[in-house]
Amino acid sequence: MASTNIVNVKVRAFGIAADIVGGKNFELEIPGQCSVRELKKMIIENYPRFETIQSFHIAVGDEYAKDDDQIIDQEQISILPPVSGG
Amino acid sequence: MENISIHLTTDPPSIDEAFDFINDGHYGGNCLFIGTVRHTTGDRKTVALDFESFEPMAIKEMKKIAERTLKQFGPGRCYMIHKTGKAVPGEIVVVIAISTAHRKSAFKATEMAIDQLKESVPIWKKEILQDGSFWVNAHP
Repeated sequence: MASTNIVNVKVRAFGIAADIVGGKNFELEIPGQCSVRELKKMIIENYPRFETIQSFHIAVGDEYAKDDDQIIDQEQISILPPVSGG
Repeated sequence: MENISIHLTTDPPSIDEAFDFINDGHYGGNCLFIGTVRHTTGDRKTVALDFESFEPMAIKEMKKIAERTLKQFGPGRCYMIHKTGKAVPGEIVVVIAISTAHRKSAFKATEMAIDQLKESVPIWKKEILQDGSFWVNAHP
């Protein structure tokens, strides 16, 4: 896939992240080749309020993703703000 | 693994069910951590907590914690349950029950499990006060 391709990824947001984006599910256009680190930057650019929260993680499917992981089209992305169970 | 049982529930977690699972006669040290809702946060009165989870991932992360814990302190048995949805002061929201051969390893295992649950399991708590609400841990 050429890096200039734009793909749509489905993003789920939890906790305060859903408040920031204004819903639990949204779609984001990202370059065909994009790392988790770049995705986080794009999320902050689109929704600057993410800069005000403690931190956030990205999950791909149901696993924590590392900043260097690549996002592939059709993957389910989730924004995980700081957890607070227990 | 049959020695691990993990749950998310909208019903009140049952202490009896947790203890029955770990107490199968193989291990003599049985430790239960029970987390409940406090009436106050600082000097503010808590009306309720509202828990949201990313369910499949939360179950998976809780299983990983149970496996890691028993690998370090086992052999033993582990039951973990966390409530989702609303819970009022006094209500049980989390139970972690671990049995191992002796008491010291059971205490350590249970402490490690609840500490790790609070660090990595995708569950979020909204604190509902009389005069507003906020997501716990969200802001620096």
